[in-house]
Amino acid sequence: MKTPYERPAIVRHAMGMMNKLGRALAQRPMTHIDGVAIEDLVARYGSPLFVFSERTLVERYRELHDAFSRRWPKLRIAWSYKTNYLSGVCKTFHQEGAWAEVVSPFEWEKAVHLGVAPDHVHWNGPFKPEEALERALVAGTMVHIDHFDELASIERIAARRGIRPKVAIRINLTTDTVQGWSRFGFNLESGQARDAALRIVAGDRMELVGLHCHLGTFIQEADAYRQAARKLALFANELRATHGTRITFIDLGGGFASQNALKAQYLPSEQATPPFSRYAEAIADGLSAIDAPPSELPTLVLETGRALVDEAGHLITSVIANKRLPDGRRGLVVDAGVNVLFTSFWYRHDVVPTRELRGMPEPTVIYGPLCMNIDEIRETMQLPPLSVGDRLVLRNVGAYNVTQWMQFITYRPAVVMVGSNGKHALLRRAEALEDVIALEEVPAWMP
Amino acid sequence: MDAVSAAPALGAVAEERNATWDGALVAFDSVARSYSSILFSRSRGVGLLLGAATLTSPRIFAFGLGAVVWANLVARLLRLDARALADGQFGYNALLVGLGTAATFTGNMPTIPVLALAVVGAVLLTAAFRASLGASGLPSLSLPFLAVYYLLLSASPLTHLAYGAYAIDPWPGDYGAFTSLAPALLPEPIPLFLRSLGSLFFVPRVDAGLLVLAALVLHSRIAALLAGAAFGAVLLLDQHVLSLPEGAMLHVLGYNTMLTAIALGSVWFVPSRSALGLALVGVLLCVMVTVGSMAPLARVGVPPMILPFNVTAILMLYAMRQRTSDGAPKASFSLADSPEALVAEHRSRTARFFALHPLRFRLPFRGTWICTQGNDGQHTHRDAWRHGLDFEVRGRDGELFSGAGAEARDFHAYGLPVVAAADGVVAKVVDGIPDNAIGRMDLVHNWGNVVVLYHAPGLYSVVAHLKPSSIKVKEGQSVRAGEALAACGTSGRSPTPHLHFQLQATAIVGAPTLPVHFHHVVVTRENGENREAREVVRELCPAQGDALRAIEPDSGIADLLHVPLGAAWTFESDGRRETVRSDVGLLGELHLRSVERPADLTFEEGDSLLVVLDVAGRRTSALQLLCAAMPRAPFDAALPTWTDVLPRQRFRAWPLRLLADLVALFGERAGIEVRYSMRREGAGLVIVGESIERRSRRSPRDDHPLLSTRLEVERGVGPTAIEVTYAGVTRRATRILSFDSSSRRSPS
Ligand SMILES: Cc1ncc(COP(=O)(O)O)c(C=O)c1O
Repeated sequence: MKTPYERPAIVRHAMGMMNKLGRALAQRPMTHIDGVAIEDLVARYGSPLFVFSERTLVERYRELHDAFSRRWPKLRIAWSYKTNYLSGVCKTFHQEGAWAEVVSPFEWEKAVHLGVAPDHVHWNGPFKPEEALERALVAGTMVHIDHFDELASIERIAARRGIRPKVAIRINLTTDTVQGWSRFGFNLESGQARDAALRIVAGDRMELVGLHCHLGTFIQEADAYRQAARKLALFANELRATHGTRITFIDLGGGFASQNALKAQYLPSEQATPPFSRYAEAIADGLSAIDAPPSELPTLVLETGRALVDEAGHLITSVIANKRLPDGRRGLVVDAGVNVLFTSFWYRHDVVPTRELRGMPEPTVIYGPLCMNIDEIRETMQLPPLSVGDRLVLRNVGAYNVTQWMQFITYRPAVVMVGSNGKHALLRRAEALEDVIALEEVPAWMP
Repeated sequence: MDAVSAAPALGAVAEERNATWDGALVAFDSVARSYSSILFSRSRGVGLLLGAATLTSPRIFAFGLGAVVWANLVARLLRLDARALADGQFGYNALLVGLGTAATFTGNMPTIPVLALAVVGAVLLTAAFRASLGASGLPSLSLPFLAVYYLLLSASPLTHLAYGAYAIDPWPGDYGAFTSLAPALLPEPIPLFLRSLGSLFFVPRVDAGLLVLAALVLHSRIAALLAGAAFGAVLLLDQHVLSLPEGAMLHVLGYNTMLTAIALGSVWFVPSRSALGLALVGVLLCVMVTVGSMAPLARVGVPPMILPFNVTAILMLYAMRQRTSDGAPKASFSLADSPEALVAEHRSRTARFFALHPLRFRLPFRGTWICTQGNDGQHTHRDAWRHGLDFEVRGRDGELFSGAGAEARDFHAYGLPVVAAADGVVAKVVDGIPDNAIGRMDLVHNWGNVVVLYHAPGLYSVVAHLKPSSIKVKEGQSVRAGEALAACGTSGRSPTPHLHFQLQATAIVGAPTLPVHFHHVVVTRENGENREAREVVRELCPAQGDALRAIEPDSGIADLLHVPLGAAWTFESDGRRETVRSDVGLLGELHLRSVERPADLTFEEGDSLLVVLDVAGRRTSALQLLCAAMPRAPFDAALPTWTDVLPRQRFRAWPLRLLADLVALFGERAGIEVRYSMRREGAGLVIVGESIERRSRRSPRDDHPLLSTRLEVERGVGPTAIEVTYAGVTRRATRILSFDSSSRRSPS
């Protein structure tokens, strides 16, 4: 067999680069996803290609469920639609028992369309148009109130429709390590949350049953959750003592870190990202401040997004060209850009070749196919030389990409799922011209 | 007047008519049941047949009926317990007095006024006996009749009552044309048997006996069988052991022993082989009482009549009540309509609610754990500790630990909460014993850190090998089922972190174990293709390798299935409307009661499931369909399947039912086991059930489940449609929502 041609280059020797216990381990080639050859998938569905592993989705879900249900008696996982609302992905989680967490009328409609009972939906977000809100409240959707104007609008709806909906309020708070997103919901420390609860109780048009708090995303400090859970538990005790309000659920939102790595992150994620059990321990410990007999303990609701789906998603991309940059680094042009891999702005994705690569690794930057300077999907990493047509797999890309991607310059690629049964099928076909022009109109006065 | 405004007026008239009709029906029932009560039945049909039996002697019939009607009137005037009155409880002793008077004394004057007074006496005595004997839980049977009747006999010389033929020789040779023909048609001892049955109602005639037998068979085949067996035993004794005077004696022995056998073998004890044995013992004792009381009673100048049955049965019942455990035979626990119904109810209870201990235990942990050593385990669960259980946690990869497994922390179980298996009081706490290094054991402190809970006299639970300083409870503190006690550790005789659980009779650490059953356990099985099948098992003793968890209640499902108090649901089935209402009973138990039909469903609504305890009454009621479609429902978010057992008898057509009853005594196939599953559909929930048994085992083309059910529940509305198919015949009940709009809950 002929050895493939390697372009000659002079590379500075770096110590430790080949340490087989360190980063180099990840560079073992990935030829299959759950038993299906990557080359077969590309031959069938094209490149670039998103591939989701059904097995990983289910395993992660069950891991999350197990970790929490062993520590807290009542648990509900609501799948965060914005993280990935492909029907096949949502259905996988719903089959496992997940409710839906939505943040817009579109997501609400999509969940109901997928067969989720409207009363198995939690609705977050700062903008809930009144008609959509009315439809959801009548159908029993659990609305997490974000601000006083929304509260007023629910009071109007309740009066108009003669209903007394069960509702939750979204709360923002601070912990020692994480400054929670303070623009959403009512602030706890300033007493705003207390005012909101009082207004609900005094208005008597709805029943306050839930407290919600989403600290942020990719939070690697489990302890932040302990503090948030404890603050909510104490707040629930206070509500019970002052108004007799029984809080039936406490929702800690999402935010658990996945195996991905932030660009600024120093430690590798295997070390920096806590397992679900660590988050669970912290949250159960925080919640144990609740003052209630076992049968009246509130249900713990989780809206974990990223940590459930990131690991299951892979992006297969093909090398289009090799370049040498003026600073001596190698540049690699691939067929997937930031338009499909939106998260590459913040995350240092794991890149794995699909064959054993020979040759000396050298600093390499991976660029997408767009004619834009920002189209860099992976900052400098050590990679041996690659040839045109070689595939690379970007791992842990299941979260936020197939929702935040955009049709820009290129068509969006296909998304497939590899089933636990070894079969594979489309979750979304690749876009074509018809899809893009289907929504367009040409003004009639134009010839 | 237009049609619309006329409608309510017509309705009011109809209602009034209904009220009178209802009153008449109650009065009729109280008469019919006065007759049927003598055979321990509440059925109108049985009453009518027995009335017809007395009609074979018109005078006796007239006196009997007159006495019953008068007695019921008196009881009503005296405002005695209306429910007992409607059940014929005040009538049957009076009936016997009336029948006996007619058979004993000739002439109408002064017999009728004396009888009228005697009936008042019987009613008063019945009330008095019911209160005094009833206070010790004993029936008064026909003691009031005996007292009054004996009084009449002794008083007769002073009251100008004239003895008829019956009193001098109650069983004269000639019974009329039919009876004299009968022996030719029927071989002995059948006429003897029938005459004996007839003499229960003072008409010792074959035709009357035939009608009584028909009534008995209609009421209960089991009771008829017991009567036959009792009579057979008496005949055997007569031929081989006793030397009785000709004639009367066999009749007296016959009906006394028959009633004794029926009461002991099928009314006060659940019919079974052991109850049959008890009945036969009763028969022998009753024969002794009869024979032995002959001479003393003759000296007083009264015949034994039904006295031997009363004495024997009441004493035996009282003696059996003194048993320390209610085993075989099982004492009757309900006022079932017939022995057959009692057997069915008992079977269904043991199949559905078999309980080893007087309280239900949940698993002592949260989430799914694995049983790693069951009863009679290979390591330490032996001899006195054979009922111990060990639990550990397996990760998704099937391993008990992650990483190297060199430290306790690496084990999934380590540090997880351990919870109370039932409500109780903390009896003992041991803390301060350090966790072992992996692979090491502390044989000095075998059990390590321990919490012992007291649940009931002689029933304690123990969780052992706890993590030091993790115990959150103090001795003397009361705890609720599911409350966190401590964290799983590896102290004591524990090479790797695990939880040891056992039940025992004392609070002593290391005491011998008692058998354990957990209730409503969710068992998880891998189901190929990475799917997991979960099933709620009603009662389970875990075996090694089982993956188990408690029900994880989902408030959404609990809300959907919640039965609000005071809810009134109107159903339509077979063109008839029926409204059922929910309320709370005297003992705090929850009921759904039918307004139109005698039907009552009792249920329990807990934190994690809804259980229908029983349904009684009309088989056509929508409540029967509801019970078949949802005998219980777990509120588990994972929508597991579950099974329940429905009594076979509830679905059979009546001829088949009669046949099946006969074999019921000797062990019939258990009830119909039905597998249920639940799924969300739109804004509601659908529960479907399919019996495991197929309809036909012979032709595979006809491979349908014997029984299938479907229940639709809508949010904020409750059940909207019920469908039950048994052997190809479907019955439906559909909610008419417009009828109960007033009782609808606000959407939640
Ligand atoms: C309200 C809310 N819940 C859940 C999530 C999901 O968070 P994550 O993907 O970090 O788990 C988000 C994400 O922004 C959110 O805003």
